[in-house]
Amino acid sequence: MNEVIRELEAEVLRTDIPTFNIGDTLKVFFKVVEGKKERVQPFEGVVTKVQNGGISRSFTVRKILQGVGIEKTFLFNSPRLTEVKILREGKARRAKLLYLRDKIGTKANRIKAKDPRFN
Amino acid sequence: MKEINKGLVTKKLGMSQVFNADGEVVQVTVLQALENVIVQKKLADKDGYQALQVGVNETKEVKLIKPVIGQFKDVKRFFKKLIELRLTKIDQLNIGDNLNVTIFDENEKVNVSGVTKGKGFTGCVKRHNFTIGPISHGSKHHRRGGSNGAGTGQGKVWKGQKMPGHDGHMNVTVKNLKVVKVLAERNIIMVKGAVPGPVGQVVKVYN
Repeated sequence: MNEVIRELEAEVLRTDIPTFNIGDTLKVFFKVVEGKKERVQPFEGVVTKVQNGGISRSFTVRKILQGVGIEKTFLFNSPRLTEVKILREGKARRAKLLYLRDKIGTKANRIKAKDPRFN
Repeated sequence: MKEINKGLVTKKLGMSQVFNADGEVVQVTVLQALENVIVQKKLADKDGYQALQVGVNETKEVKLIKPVIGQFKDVKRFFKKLIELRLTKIDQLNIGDNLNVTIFDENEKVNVSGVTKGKGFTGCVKRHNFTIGPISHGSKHHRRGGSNGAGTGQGKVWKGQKMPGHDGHMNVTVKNLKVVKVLAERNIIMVKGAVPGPVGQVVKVYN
């Protein structure tokens, strides 16, 4: 990437989002625009993916709703992202938890808690 | 006809994205204006057409040959490259003036022209979007162009028949790109969408 573009992007990067890892359970608050109204919607789930660098960096959160798996991808630097809370740290041995898509039932989205001794 | 009274020679730095006031992502191409110094004004009654000749990439006099040095006798500055901008109004601009990004406003529509990436010698499928033939079942008509025209009655191939050949590396203008941001202190202009050419390419921006 061009150095000038990197500098321009660095000016608008957000630093208030806490650092989290793959497998952590998050509660993400983001603004939803419905017509002219705006409201904040929370979304709770497991981080399965963190992608890209720079201004287009994104993360994907997965949860099971009424038996259907739902994944939402958020941009780290989006002004619509209001808050990210880390509910639980998870132990993941992979960079992308795509295997969760194939899990059914109680095993889906179950990530073991991180052992505090190895923090 | 639309009046073209703004023009600028820029360098394509690459693509990025910005968030607009609504928090939506806008894909932008970052264009950095080169130092545009007016070297010569081409006039309709003298040269047959009207244009601004701007010099970019300043260099030293000793690095140029005499016939080229003669072109810079009015500005007393020397450039590696001379580019013409065909504008309808050039009365207020003088030789030696500098053009910069402040001539453009945000949310303005601009046209960007440049030379596209060269693709080399390509087949019909890539160059003219021909349909490919069957890959298997004994077919040998995979990516061929097919028939070139009629038989001996016609006795020739029509001009303009689409065939394999050199693709890319041609002048292309992308019209009506919105100016998303103008950064005067860095001499940078961001336009929504893609512009022709590779990163580092010199492109011209018109209103």
